[in-house]
Amino acid sequence: MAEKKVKTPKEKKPHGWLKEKLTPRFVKNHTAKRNAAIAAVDLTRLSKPVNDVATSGPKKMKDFSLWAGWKTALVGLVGVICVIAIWWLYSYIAVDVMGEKSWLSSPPEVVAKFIEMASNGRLWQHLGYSVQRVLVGFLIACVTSIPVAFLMAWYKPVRAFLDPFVQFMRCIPPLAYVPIVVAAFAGGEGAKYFIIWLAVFLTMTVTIYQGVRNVDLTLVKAAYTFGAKDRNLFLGVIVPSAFPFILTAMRLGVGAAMTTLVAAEMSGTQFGLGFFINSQGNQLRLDYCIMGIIVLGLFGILLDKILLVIEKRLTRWK
Amino acid sequence: MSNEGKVVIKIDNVKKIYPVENGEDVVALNGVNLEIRENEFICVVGPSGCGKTTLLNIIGGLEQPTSGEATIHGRPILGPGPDRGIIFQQYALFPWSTVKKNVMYGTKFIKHEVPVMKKNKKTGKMEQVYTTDKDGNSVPLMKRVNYSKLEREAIAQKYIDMVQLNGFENKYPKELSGGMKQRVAIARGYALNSEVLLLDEPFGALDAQTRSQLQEDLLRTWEKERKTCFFITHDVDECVLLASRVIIMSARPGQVKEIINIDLPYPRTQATKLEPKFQEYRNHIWDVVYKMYVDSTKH
Repeated sequence: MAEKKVKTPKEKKPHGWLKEKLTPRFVKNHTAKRNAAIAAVDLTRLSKPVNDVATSGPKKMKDFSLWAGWKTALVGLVGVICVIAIWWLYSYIAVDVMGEKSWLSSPPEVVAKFIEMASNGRLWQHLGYSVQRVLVGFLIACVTSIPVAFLMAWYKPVRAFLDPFVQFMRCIPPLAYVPIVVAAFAGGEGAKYFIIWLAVFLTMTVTIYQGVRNVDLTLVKAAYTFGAKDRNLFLGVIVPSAFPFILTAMRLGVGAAMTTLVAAEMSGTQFGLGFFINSQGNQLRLDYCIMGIIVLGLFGILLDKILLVIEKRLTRWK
Repeated sequence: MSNEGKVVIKIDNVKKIYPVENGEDVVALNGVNLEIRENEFICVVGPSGCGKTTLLNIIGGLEQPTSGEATIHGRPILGPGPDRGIIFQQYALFPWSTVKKNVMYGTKFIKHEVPVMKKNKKTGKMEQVYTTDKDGNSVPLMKRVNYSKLEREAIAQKYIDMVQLNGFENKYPKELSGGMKQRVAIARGYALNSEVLLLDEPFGALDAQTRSQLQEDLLRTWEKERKTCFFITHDVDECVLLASRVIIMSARPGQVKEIINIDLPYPRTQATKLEPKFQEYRNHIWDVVYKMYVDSTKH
C-alpha cells in the first residue's frame, strides 16, 4: 500500500487579517488616539443635563398627517398660479428688459396656440398617437415585467442570469439607444413601442422584484405549517404580499413611459406629442413647445391619478 | 398522569449546531431527549439563548437537527405539516385576508375521508360503494378529499366563536389589537385540528391584562379539547399555570435540565396562582432558572 501523503495543515489566518494588513498606519493611529481619548473622558465630572424652558422639547410634536382634500387642492392651485405668475413676469423681463438676445412666450400666447391647435384638431391627432404608444408600450411592459420579476425572485439562476443586464440598462438614458433601435426596427411603430417598453420594463422589474423579496418570512413558515406546497405558497402568500408593489411599480412605470416619450418619438415619425415638442423646440417656436409640454404633463397626471384610485381600491387591507 | 398516554413526539438525542464563519460554531441544542405524550400540556422554560425556539422549529419541521432524530408516531419529521400546527409570537396573520379568511386558511390543505358514492342506475339514487378489506369483510370505500368551502367556513366560525371574536369576522388584521390578532392566530391553529399544537411564546408581546385573559382562554380550550400542546415561554408563572409538565432547559449548550410534573388539578384559573403548591413550583423553577442565569453571567 502506498504511503498516504500527510498534508501539513496550513496555519489558518485569523479573521480580518487582510483588512488589518491593508489599513494604512495613519488610520490606525487615528483610531488608537480616538479610543484613548474616549477612555480618558471622566464621566463623574459631567454635570447633570440642564432642563429648563430653553432645552425642553417643543410643545407640539411634528404632525405628519395630511390636510383634508379641498385644502390640499386649494393650496396646490395657489402654487400653480404662483408658478404661472413667475413665468408670465419673466416673459416680460426676458423680452422687454434683457433685450433681443432672450425671449420667452407668455401664458396668453401659449393659451392662444392651445385654442388654435385644439380647434383645428391637430393637437388631438398628436395626443392620440402618443397615448397609443404609451399605452401599448406600458401594457406590454406590465405583461412581461411581472412574470420576469417573479421568476427572478423565485429562481436564483434566473436572477443571476438577468440581473447584470437589468442593472446595466438602468444606467443608460433612453436617448442614447434611439438610433440603434431605429436602425434595428427600420423606424416603424415597433421602435417607439420598444423604447417605451424597455424603460417601463426595467423600472417595473426592479420594483416588483424587491417587493417579492420583501415577503414576511413568518408568513411563509406559517403557510408551510398549514400544509401549503410551493405552488400554494406562491399563489396564496407571495403574490398577494407582492401585490401592492406591483401597483407601485405600475405608477413608476407610467412615469417612465411619459419621460421616455420624447426619446421614443425621435425615431422617424411626423406625429405624436413627443415629436411635436421636440420639433417645435428645434425651430424655437416656444409657444407651441410649452403648450405641448403642458398637455403631456396633464396627461401624465391623469394616468397617475387613475392608477392611484385603482391602488386605493385594491389595497384597502394595508 | 404524565407517565401515561401514548407517545406522540419523541426527541431522540437531538443536536443542533449552527456553523459560524470565522468563529466558534454555536451549539444550540446538545443532545436533547424528550417525549411528548397525548393530551399533555408541556411548557418549556429557560434563559434566552437556550434553544427553546430551535427545539420547537425542529418539532415543527422548519429546521432539521444536525444529529439525532425527531419523530411523530414513530415517523421521522422531515418537514412542516398540518399535523403540527404552530402559533407564532408575531401572529403571522395574512394582512390581505379578513379574520374569517385567515382562520379558513388553516383548513385549506387538509384532507379527510368521505365514503365514495355512486348513482344506482335502476333507482336513480346515490348509494355508497363497498369494497372488501384484507379479512374479506365488506367495508365502505373511502376517498380522501379536501374540506368543502362550506365546511371550512363552519369550522372557522366555530373557532372564531371559541376565541370570542364573533362580530370581527370581516375585519382585517390591521384593524385589530395585539391580543385580538393573537386570538385569531390561536383560532387558526385550533381550526387546523392538528395532533400537536406548538406555541412559540404566543403571549410574549402582549400586556399583562391581555396576557392573563388569553392564558385563561387557552386553559378553558385545553381543558375542553385536551389537545397536546408544546408551549414555549420565558415566564415562570405562565409555565406553572398552564403546564401539566414543565421542562427547564439550560443555556449554551441547550440541554434539558429538569422535568417537573405540575400536580395542580385542572380547571385552573388566575386564582390558582395563590395556592401554596403553585408558589412552591414557581419558586423552585425560578431558583433553577435564576441560578443558571447567575452562573452564565459569572464568566
